[in-house]
Amino acid sequence: MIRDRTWFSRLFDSLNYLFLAGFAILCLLPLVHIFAVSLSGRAPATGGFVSFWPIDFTLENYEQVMGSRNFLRSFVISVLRVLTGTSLNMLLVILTAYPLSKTPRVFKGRTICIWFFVFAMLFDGGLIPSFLVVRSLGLLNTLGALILPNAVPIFSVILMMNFFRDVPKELEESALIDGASHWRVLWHIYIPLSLPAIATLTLFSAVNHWNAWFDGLIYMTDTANYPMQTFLRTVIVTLDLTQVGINPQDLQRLSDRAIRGAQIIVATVPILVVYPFLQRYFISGIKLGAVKE
Amino acid sequence: MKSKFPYNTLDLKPSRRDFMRLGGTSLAAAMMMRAGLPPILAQGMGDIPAELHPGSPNNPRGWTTTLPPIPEGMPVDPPVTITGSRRGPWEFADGDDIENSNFTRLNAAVTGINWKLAFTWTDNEGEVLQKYNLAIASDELPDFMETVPLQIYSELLDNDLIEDITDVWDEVAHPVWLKEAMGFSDGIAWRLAEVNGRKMGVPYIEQAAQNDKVLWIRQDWLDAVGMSAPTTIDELHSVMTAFVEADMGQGGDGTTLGIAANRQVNTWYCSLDPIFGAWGVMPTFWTPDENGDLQYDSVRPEIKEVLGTLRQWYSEGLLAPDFFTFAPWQNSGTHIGGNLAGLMYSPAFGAVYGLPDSVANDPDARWAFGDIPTGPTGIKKKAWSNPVPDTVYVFRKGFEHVDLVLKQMAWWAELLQNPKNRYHGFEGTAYFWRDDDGEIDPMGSTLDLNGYDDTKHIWGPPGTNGGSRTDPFYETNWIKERRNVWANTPEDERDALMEAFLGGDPLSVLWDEANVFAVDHWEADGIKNHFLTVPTRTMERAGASLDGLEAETYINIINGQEPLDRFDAFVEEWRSGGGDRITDEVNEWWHGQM
Repeated sequence: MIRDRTWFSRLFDSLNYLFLAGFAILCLLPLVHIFAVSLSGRAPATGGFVSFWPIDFTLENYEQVMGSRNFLRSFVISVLRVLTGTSLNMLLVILTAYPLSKTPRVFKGRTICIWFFVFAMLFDGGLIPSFLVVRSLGLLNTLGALILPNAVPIFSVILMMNFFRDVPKELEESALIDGASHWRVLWHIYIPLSLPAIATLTLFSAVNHWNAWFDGLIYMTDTANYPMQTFLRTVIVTLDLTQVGINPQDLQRLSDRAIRGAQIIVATVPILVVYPFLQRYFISGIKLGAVKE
Repeated sequence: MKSKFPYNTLDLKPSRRDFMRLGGTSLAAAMMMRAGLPPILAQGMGDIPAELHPGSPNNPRGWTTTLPPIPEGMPVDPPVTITGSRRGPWEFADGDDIENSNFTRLNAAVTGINWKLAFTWTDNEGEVLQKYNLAIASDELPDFMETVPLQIYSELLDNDLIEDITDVWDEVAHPVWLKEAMGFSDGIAWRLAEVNGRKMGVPYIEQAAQNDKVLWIRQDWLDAVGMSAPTTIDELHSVMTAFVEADMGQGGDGTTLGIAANRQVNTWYCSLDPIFGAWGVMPTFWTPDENGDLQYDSVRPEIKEVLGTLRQWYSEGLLAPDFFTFAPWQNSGTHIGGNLAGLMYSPAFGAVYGLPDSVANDPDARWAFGDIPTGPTGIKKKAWSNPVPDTVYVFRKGFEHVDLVLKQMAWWAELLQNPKNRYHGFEGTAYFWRDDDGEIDPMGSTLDLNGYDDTKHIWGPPGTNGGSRTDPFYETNWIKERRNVWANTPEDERDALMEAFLGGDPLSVLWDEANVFAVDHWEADGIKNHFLTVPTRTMERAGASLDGLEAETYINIINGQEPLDRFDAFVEEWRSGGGDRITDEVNEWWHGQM
């Protein structure tokens, strides 16, 4: 690639970088602020004196958050949910997408199957029927209620299917000629070639599981079983005391910005940490040169 | 000296440590030895093991909680299990949960009732509706439903899913702790729970005057500007102006506020309702006019004068430039905790909400409260806070044990609400004993009241999240007991609980004083909202948009975005947009129920 080295384009580039860096910092500032608040004392944090540097530095907020049984329990539930839910999602996505990526000649009922999935993607049963199904399966208040209803993320299946379709057919054919079974083709050819897609979809799935709160609200009849994001909503709540009163102790807790800051940080950091680990799979062009045409 | 000797002479009085010995296997023998005990105490003991008792009779500095007599026919044998819905969340001691806590254990021993959780919810918008709707749709209503919102209540009534408890109530409800306690303010307790003369549920009752405002004021700022507490709106204006001009606040230059306010003019914290009250009107309330019809105060002409005054204040910089972006609970942090404002109209509990942050951020801050200032024609009024919010407790249609639940309510109501019983929750949850090193020790000499509120664990009322009760004067009676009886106990006879409350921090003392003050002024100074039933048909359809129009118009007039005369156009819009029809419907109800 030949670069244009005129002073104008260099100026443009540097301004561009400056501009984008500015935006990046703008996106980071709220996080920095919350981090500073979470390391500050209750009074200055709640009084609004903290901007980007902690006042009355203390780790007490984190101690309290980590020591709160309610928070820790919901944290554990969320971690379990992400681990099991994401594994199950990816297993089912791959197993579903592989046959669907074949031509109707190889897989006879493919079109019907695709329509079946697309239909289920466009229409769902609605809140109350879904609740009734989950309840009669005895899943209320279990991890299963959070994982099983969306175990097959159909949108991901379609993405995966299209990715599989782009894998050159010659690779598969050569393996089949050598006597490989479909399991072997999937495992040794499709999956290694699809790592970028798998990494992306894994990330989607993990973030979705981590951030989901509504199903926790519906399927957990006991608030003690709430996953973390559902629990956090009870902490960062919009109070309306014109309806029913609240105990003064809770009122104090709800206006404690320092504790809330610590909770947000503890809830955000684990999922941020996942990104760098997956990043190395985001490489494109791996199939380049696999086949000569 | 005292702490060294666990058995000192103080304990020889027949009311403290003896309870421990009374429990367990030696119960019968101890009862005989203690034949001289007052009968009610002996009866209250019954077969309740000592470890289930609230209070700390066995600590040298502890106190005894007297249990009321066990209700007739209780504990029921065999025990019954009752399902219920609960408003969460809670904290618990190790190993406990909502079905197994100090409350449930004592309650099972007293009544024979075991509570089973059907579902819980938290205070997020819509969550309670979501959970109740799911229960209705799946045809799995719990036996007893806590804090049912109005919308669900109407739905349950329309579908005949609620048990009519009128007859059971008349027969078994306790004459004092249920019937008499709920008879305040002309029976307003029953405004929702009673439908066409039939009792369809148990009222949810809060503290009397809970949200009635007093004027909270920075005494040290007043002293600094050399003024005294304002008694009229004009004086209030001068004080605000003086605070702002002297820039008394802790924030940057020129950020001091005259008074803390938010986007709701009539609300529960940092409200402006006493200013409207000074002109005799109360936005969002329905009040009787001279013909005996109900009128909507928000569109009365007097409102325009008040809005004009507030508009003037805003233009003078006495209100926060962005006050309309604040919700009430946000004032407590930025404006009060951040020491930007030295004046607010807030309830008695404002002493422990907002002010602690203020004092922490500025150790010199000294807060005081006073009566609300009077208006130009001498009127002194504020919003009367209704102790019966828009919610009820109901029983599932066909539920057989309403009588047992009512008896349980009465027993707990008497235990909690009669200050003579000296109930202050359970050791290990509501409070702790600590030894000289600060470690938790049941025999320690220091009482630590910073536990968590275990009355929430009670399947109430009384108890539950939000602190409902059967008697709205419950807290006030307690305060009076502390101030009139405990305070007169000679110091060397006081136990740790008395000392903890009598020597409480200054803000808690202020809270107590403000509470008694607000209750004393409750009936005299309050403007009552006379519309007390479920929303009318047009309210359901057009209410939300009319409310939005009203709030927006008020704010735009106050902050100068629109001229004061916009108010007249708003009144016209309100009337033609459904307001006239709502007024007719409201009056139809009003005249129908008289």
